[in-house]
Amino acid sequence: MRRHFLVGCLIVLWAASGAWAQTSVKSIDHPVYDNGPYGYQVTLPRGLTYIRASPPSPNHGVSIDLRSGAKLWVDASYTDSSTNEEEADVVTTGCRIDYKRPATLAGQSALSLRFTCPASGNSRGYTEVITFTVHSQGDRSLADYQVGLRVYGSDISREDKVLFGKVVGAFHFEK
Amino acid sequence: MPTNFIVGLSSFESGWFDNHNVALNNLWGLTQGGGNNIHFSSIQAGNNYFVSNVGPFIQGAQTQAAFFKGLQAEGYNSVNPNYYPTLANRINNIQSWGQACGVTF
Repeated sequence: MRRHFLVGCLIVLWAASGAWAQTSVKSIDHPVYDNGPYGYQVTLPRGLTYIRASPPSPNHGVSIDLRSGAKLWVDASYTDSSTNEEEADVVTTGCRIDYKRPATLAGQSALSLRFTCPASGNSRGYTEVITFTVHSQGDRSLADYQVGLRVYGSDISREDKVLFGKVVGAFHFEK
Repeated sequence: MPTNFIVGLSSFESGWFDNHNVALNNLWGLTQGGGNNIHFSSIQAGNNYFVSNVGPFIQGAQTQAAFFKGLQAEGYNSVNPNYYPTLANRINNIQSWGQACGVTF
């Protein structure tokens, strides 16, 4: 009886956490993440555990909580912006731009941005680096395809910068 | 629930119902095992699926905070930390998009 009660409590806690709504995957087992809804693919370096949405939730990409405390993600989301510059203005609203450089993502013209946003409400201040391109893939509307890295209250480590660069380089659009 | 919450979410997840999602009758970005968007037999079938599976999480939400809390509990994009601010921006602009199209909510 007591065992059933404890198991019931664990199930309730698990459901309340929302953990059922995402799937944890080890890159050593499944290095290639293929995103059908937005038409892209990324090969993730070994030794990482990434999180992706579980059905029926929309599937935008993956995120990785790094040992340094930083968060790295690969994401695609539809946007109303029609150019990279326009999207850069949207994503950095209220933040200080540290740099904005031309870049490429999967052969597409992209922007690489580093910006710092102040704390607001319950949110902590953070610094973010993103490389993104506003692109229409196949029969889809324009979307913001991006690789991002966020740190809270510290500088971005050299190790994380290297990993970020590897993920940017491993991003491809479906043929 | 305010109409602009639902219109904002649907437009954001379907790319204003782009050709890719029109072919799937999927207004909501809903996915199946393996991660691709579900192909519904009709728009109504897709909407019914949304109401059954996502509806319980967001039913009665009167504020954006409550709406987002419900979506988060269902599992809507826990990947990108900018997802909810971006979705909020879309929802806040639905009124002006509607006016541009001659529609009022």
